[in-house]
Amino acid sequence: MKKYNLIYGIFISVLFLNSGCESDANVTLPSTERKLVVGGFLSPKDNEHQISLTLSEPLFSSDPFFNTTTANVTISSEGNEYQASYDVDAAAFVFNNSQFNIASGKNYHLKIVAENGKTVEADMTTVSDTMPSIEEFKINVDTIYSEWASYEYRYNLKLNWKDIAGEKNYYRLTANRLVNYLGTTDTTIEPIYEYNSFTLKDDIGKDGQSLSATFKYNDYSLTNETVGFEIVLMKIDVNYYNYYKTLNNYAGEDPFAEPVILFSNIQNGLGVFSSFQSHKIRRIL
Amino acid sequence: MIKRKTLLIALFLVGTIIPSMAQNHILSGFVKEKNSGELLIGAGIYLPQLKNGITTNNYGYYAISIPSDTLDVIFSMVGYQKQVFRIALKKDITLNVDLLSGTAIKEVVVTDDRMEKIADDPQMSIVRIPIEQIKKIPMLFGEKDVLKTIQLMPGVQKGSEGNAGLYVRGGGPDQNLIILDDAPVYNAFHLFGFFSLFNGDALKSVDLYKGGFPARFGGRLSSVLEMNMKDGNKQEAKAEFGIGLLSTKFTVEAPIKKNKSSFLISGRRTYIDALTLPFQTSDNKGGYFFYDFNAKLNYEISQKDRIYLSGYFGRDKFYSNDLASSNYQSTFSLFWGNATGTLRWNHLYSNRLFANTSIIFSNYQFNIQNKETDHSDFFEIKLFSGIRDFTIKHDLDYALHPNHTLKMGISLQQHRFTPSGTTINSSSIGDFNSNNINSIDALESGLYVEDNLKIGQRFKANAGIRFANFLVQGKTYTAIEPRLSASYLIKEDLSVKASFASMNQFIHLLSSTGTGLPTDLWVPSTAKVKPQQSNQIALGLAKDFLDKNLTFSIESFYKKSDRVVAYKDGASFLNIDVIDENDKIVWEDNLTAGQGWSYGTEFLLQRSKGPFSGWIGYTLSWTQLQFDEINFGKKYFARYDRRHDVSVVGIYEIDKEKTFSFTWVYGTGNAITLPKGDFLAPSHNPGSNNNWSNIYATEYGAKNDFRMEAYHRFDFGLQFHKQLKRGIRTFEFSVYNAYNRRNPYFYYISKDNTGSQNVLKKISLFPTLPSFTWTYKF
Repeated sequence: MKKYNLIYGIFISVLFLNSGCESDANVTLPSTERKLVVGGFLSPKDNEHQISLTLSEPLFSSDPFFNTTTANVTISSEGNEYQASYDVDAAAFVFNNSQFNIASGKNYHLKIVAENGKTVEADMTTVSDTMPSIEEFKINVDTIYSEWASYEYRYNLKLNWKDIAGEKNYYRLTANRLVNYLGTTDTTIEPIYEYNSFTLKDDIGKDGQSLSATFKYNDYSLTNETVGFEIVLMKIDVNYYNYYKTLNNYAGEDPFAEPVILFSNIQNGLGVFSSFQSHKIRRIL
Repeated sequence: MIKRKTLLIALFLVGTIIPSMAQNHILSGFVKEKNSGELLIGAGIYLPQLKNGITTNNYGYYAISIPSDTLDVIFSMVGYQKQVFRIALKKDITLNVDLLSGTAIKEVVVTDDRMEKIADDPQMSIVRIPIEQIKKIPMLFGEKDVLKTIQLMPGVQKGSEGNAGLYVRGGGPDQNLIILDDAPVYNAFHLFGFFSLFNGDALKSVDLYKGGFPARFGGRLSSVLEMNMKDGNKQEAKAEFGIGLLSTKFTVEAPIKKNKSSFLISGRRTYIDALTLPFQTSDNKGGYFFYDFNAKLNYEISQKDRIYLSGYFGRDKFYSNDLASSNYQSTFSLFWGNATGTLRWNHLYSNRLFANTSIIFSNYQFNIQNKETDHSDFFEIKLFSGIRDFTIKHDLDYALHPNHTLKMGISLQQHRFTPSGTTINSSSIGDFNSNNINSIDALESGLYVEDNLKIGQRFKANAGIRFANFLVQGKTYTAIEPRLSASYLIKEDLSVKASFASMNQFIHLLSSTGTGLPTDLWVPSTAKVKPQQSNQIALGLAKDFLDKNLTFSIESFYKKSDRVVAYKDGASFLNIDVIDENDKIVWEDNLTAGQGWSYGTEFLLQRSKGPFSGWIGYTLSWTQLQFDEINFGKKYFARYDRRHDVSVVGIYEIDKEKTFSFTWVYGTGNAITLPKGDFLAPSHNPGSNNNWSNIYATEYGAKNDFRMEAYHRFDFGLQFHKQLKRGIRTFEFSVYNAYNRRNPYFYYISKDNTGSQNVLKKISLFPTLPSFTWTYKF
């Protein structure tokens, strides 16, 4: 990677040596308005549900800022609706199942009207209750002597599960490490960020077949001990999948990367309104 | 149904060929330049009584089957004085002809108009620019550039300011087959694409095919740029020496054995590094240079056998050496370049049958080397990537009949792709040595046959078929590519033309920048990454205005490409590693395949003869792409989609001592994806204390929905020629971007003077730039 950064540096230097001509662009800039950004990841298994609401910052216009905490956030399904209230601690609009039940396999509509009248809407169908069956959770450990520590453990995690036949399924998987820090007896859970922090899978062309995901973790810490791993297998809806697929591609500040346009199912807004069901598979070493 | 068609075609061929074969004889020979003995490519041989003609092949040879008769034969070529012969053809005749060049006779050359008629040529979508014209057109820093001259023709666009990359009819720069003396050239640029690596002084001919590709070419979707090097003067020693702002160059050519054998050597080197040397300390040095070197040797063994050995070698190098401390020293260099070599053997099996056998080598390599020494420890890393080819090909030209001239051939090309190679030597990691080279071998082969056919007095065509095969990692791809380019003469100076070409491309360039960076990687098709494929049709009109020495053509084209490759969103050469930690190829996972559409109309009004020559070109075109994994599967305009593209080129020979030239270009701005806002993208964190968090993200509209400012520029140049005692001295003064148009190279977002408002800033590369060059030819 260093080599490419170096080349990039040289390339930019050459450009600027040749240039020195900086001026304002003589083009009509895109006029964008401040948009509502919605975050909704709802699970029928949860009792409490949160919908986050923030504002975008237009680059080339001065659309005035407005308060999002006073917005009317209404969720509806099959003729029932509920207006969620803003919870300061959660920094989100919150409701629970006794107020409005989120059930599996149902259509939900979200409508948000801000204090200035700006309105966004979104639709989604919650994922079904059926979860795929786990076939195998395998952990291989290699011990390698390294220059940084006296030894290094390389963990290879692999989860196999059987896709649910007859429905279009999308999955997101994350992995956590169970850690005991020296001098403590408590086990803490830490997400694994090495190589891939999460994996997305779909069952296109593999309906009802065995699917798998792998994670890797290199452990060369002298101050803690890995005592186990867990993989969180989430069945997600298509909105969640499309949103995370683009979020996964997001390349930050790489000037040569093709820009990533984040998916959104929010009409007139940004963000995502989606659903998931999760299942944790834990293995103690 | 198919059988019936085949039978009809066979009957037609038999009916047109057999009856007249018995009375036909072969007129054949070589056409050369009179003073140098240089074999002329594309010289016309015209038989006015028969209203038939052909052109010389890449080795100056022609052979035409004609009925026994007393006939006039006219030999001509733009820039040369025509020659007319009357022959009584009662047996096969060999007629070698020397044409006198325009520069030698020092007057406006009158050639036979019939032979230069574009209406008469069945080939369409071809760009031919005489090398002498290239030398007169003003260029950036006075560096004459073949590729940048071609960019001035309709249907051919440049990428960005100063860049020599070619975008032909909506295709990318990787879809151009660039061949120099039969050898493919994989990275045709110096200095990040600002200069092409072809030295005009060493070239004899430059032809660009934009469509209607003859079957002898294959392997790329969008264009074929065929360049042939000069053979070298067989009569007398000649030399040319030139000094410009950036580089100095020389060309020497001379006979080894008069009229039998000659050589040519041509070289060029920049001296930016030498000019900055006085400003550097002895302990800390750095710089950049490029050089290229062409050489050719030829030998006429007999009337029937000739051999040619030619080669190109070029390098670009950045370097930086830190030698200030005796304890710690560091050297860094980054260099890349091409090397090609071609050994060709021409053999005449008979007057009818001309054969050429070529053995070709081509290598492109990009290297980074870094060595650090700290006391007694050292760490050295070498990184490289590249592609290396060995090719053998055999081509035949067969003068079958007055109405049928055949070309056929076979080629076998062995590719070795090295997307990534690393060698590490280190004393600090316990004498650690690593040699990790990941190469992929592939075999590409082609078999073709072409027929230059004529039916009646009005219909001409080049019909052909090519069989292509690609073998990689046990996977085989096969393709059949039909080709046709035809013309129908409505009037003597007006014809309608049509063409169809099916093309396949088995190798791909991983490039996200289009800037000609040396880091772009060539990779093969694999089981996962399928070959690219395209079909192109074109329809046009060609009109000659003989009394005004003008030609006018209109061509409309439609090209559909499939399985074209692009980086997925977010991927770039900065964030892909060609292999992962398990040594598995991952570049494949960063690619996505999609479709492309390109269509438009090109207009060209051209004057090649007379004191005032040049052309006006205009292209109206659309280029769209669709990838399932980009822009949510919706179609979008390609970055280099250019609705309007105009170029005006003029060369005025004021008198024998002065030449004035100018160019004006205009192009619609590139389509780019511009950020419209920032926002906090919600992120779901299942199982954590906070169910969700935020990621800083950018809001865009649709892919490439924003147009950069239009590009336009005016350049002019004035050449002063002076005949000195021993040669001709030319002094050129030229101005690039004369009215100082600030064309955008790229945009970035900044704050205004108050610091409160965002503004879009542009970086322009080249303001008005005057330059001087001096050349001496003797």
